[in-house]
Amino acid sequence: MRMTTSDEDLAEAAAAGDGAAFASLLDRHYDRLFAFCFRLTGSRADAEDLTQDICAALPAKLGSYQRRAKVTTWLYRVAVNAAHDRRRKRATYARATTGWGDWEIQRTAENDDTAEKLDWLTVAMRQLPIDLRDTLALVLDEMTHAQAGDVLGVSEGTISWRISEAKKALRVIKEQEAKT
Amino acid sequence: MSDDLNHLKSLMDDAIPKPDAARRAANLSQAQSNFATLQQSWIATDSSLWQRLVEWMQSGVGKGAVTASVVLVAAGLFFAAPPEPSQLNAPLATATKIGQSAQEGLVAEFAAPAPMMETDDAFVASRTTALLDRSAAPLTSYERVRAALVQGVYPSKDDVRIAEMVDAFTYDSESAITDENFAAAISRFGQLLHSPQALGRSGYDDVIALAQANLGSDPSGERAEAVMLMQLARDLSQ
Repeated sequence: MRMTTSDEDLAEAAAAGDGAAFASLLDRHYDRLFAFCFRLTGSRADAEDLTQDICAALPAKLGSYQRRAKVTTWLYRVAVNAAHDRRRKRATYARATTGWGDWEIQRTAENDDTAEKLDWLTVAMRQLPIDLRDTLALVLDEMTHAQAGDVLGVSEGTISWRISEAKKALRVIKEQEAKT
Repeated sequence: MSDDLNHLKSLMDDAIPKPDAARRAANLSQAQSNFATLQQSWIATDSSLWQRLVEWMQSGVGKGAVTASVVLVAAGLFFAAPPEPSQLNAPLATATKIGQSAQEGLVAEFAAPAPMMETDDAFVASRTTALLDRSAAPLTSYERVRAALVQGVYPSKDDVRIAEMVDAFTYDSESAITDENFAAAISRFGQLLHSPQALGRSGYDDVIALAQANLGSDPSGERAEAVMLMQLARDLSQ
């Protein structure tokens, strides 16, 4: 029964206090949410922790779900905000050893022979500024520029501009790679 | 999507791991329990408000009073509909207390105003402001793990947050490999705490050996302490 109910109906029922609807909605979106968290953070451990944050806080966040809004847009907005808060909090900690985080690249490169070689994806993502990374995380998740703009609270034009910036940056990284 | 992005997309899609099944189940049940707690406290608040209104209505005498009451009840409901932050603080505080204390830190994180918050988010944020004040310095994941193990109990799985545990250490040894190996030991330690039965004693022995071999100079003794905690966890797992 639940599987045929739309996300939006489930979210509305959940916001009105239906626990089964909430459970069903989260179960339906968990794997996709986790994948999105990975796209945002670039590390499995971080994605697990971030998903945990979001799951625990989501009941209190249901109040911000607006009738008829697309559930994925709302959920991704919660995720982007949570990632943003986490990043800010982590800035005070030691730097992360994994992920797209600003780990000193040269230090890892020093022991390339022993440590796992960084793949192209990680190298590329690390060199992009955070807003471009977040934008890419959404667009690579097959969101349209308009939907991504909705999630990030910016215009569709801004998304298109960021994507073209990201492409430029990626091209530069590739060229640098070709030279070495 | 252009070719550039298609390439990136396929790399990204390949890199995405499957979510850990145990944590998936734990996170879903945590979410449901928070949902239930929040709902119960809402209902409690609503019914006490309702009861007060009924009592107040009954205290009125004569038809005129009842008519006036109806108007006032309507007005009361109007005000009650978007509950004030002061009312909202209570249920959330209860939910947090009943749930894991780890939530405090979490709620604090979510309370921070982010640039793209909606009006309703501001509401949620205002509900949690009081909490922020009360929990001046929420314990980090590693501190909770340590507190539990020292008391001879397994930490709650919600307190075990692997990336945070890894971040709790300083990584500035002479050798980057030592640092990375030690970080790997902490990460595996976190995994063992999540599912102690998965690897059993040999799992802990391996992790302890890895950590011990990568203590580095350890000026603050934090790594040696971590090894001690691993040993405590191993003893608990037997």
